[in-house]
Amino acid sequence: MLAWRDGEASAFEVIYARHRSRLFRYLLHQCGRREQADEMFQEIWMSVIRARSAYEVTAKFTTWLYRIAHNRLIDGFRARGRLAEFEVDAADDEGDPPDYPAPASGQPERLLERAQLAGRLLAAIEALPGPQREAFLLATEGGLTVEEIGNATGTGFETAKSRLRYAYARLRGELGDLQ
Amino acid sequence: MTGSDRPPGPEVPEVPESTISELQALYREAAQAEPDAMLDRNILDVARADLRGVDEARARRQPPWWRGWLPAASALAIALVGLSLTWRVMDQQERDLRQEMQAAEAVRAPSLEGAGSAAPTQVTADAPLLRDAAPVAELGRRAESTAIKEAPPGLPKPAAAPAPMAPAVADEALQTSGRAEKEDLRQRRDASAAAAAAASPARQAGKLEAGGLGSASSSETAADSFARPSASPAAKSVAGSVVLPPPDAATPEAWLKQIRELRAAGRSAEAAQSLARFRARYPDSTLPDDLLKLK
Repeated sequence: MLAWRDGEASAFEVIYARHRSRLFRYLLHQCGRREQADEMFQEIWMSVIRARSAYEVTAKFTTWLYRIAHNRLIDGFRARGRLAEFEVDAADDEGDPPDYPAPASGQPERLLERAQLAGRLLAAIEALPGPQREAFLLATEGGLTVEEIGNATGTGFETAKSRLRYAYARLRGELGDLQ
Repeated sequence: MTGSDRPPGPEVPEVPESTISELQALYREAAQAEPDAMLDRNILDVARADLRGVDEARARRQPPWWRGWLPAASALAIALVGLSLTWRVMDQQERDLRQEMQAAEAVRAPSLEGAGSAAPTQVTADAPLLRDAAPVAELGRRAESTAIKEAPPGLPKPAAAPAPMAPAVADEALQTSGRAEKEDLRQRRDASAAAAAAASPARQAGKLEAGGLGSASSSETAADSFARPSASPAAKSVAGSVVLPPPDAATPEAWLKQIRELRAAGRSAEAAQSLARFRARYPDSTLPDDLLKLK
């Protein structure tokens, strides 16, 4: 990013190639609709381009990028009247921790096709509460650590960790036949 | 768990690492969506155009090659003009002096009866010498005229004195004035040395005093900084009157307003810290001009 800020045109192409797919999927699974994801994706990269000259290293570039993406998502949800999804804290939302059954290993039903399982996982991700889904996507797509997720979403370490844990637990519950 | 070393809270369900890995692997298999190629092209084009715009702006700002030579050429021209003027002025002065001397000679010639024809010849012979020492000759002439005025009436007029004597008189006059200047300088030097010697103990004492005062003033400054709020109730009331919203206001606009209020209340450090948090929270936001200085 610094090289690009200083005028090296090819540096942006490297950055873009590295982050385009992951960022796009993060957005797609957050909004659920491709058109919205396209629109936000473009807007986020325009923001990155606009911020080029003033860019300073205050965090890892990925955290910085996903912070912009998070802000854009919040704006999008606000505009569509879905902000409530992001204003509910995971812990408040969940109440008592769910008592999901452990995956039943060794069952003959595990003959399910892996592709079908993957499809169910995507559906389960979309069914997650917004903050948990975001934490999961930031960790899985963005490769962010818990601390970085906290920074990108403007929440603390503990909140980010809690959201992530709840997300994994719920997904495991939805895919009881995992493993 | 990604990057977390801390133990999970008791209320958060524990998920084995293997399950997390399996979930992530499965997700990567399932999630294969990519942005459109058209979208990629648009974004890359905008990025390139942005840099091109910067390059063009830079090129527009770059002055032509000859601008670099402009200061040197100007200095050279000024030096040449100065030299030429100086030379002309000197030349003119020399010519004026020569004319004056010739006029003086012409006036003096009738009164030089009987003085022989040697003098004019000598003057002519000395002319180049005189030209080189024009100011000296001027002094000589002054001395000569003084001598004429002061000469007793009984004696033959010193005006009859031969012109070549003028440089000698001028030399004497110069030496006299040089001596006087030297004497004057020596006296001044002595006086200043004496004053310095007299002032040095006082200065040392003053330095000590100043040190004392300095430390006193620094301690006063520190004390002042603590006492200042109570010392200036007006300022206190201004600072107190600013009702600040809770830190890190919800919207960017409210946050920027809060930073401005902090700055207006003289709490620049807090304003700068708040601004840094703002920039971390909204990294792509464009800061208003009035807050750029706070960075």
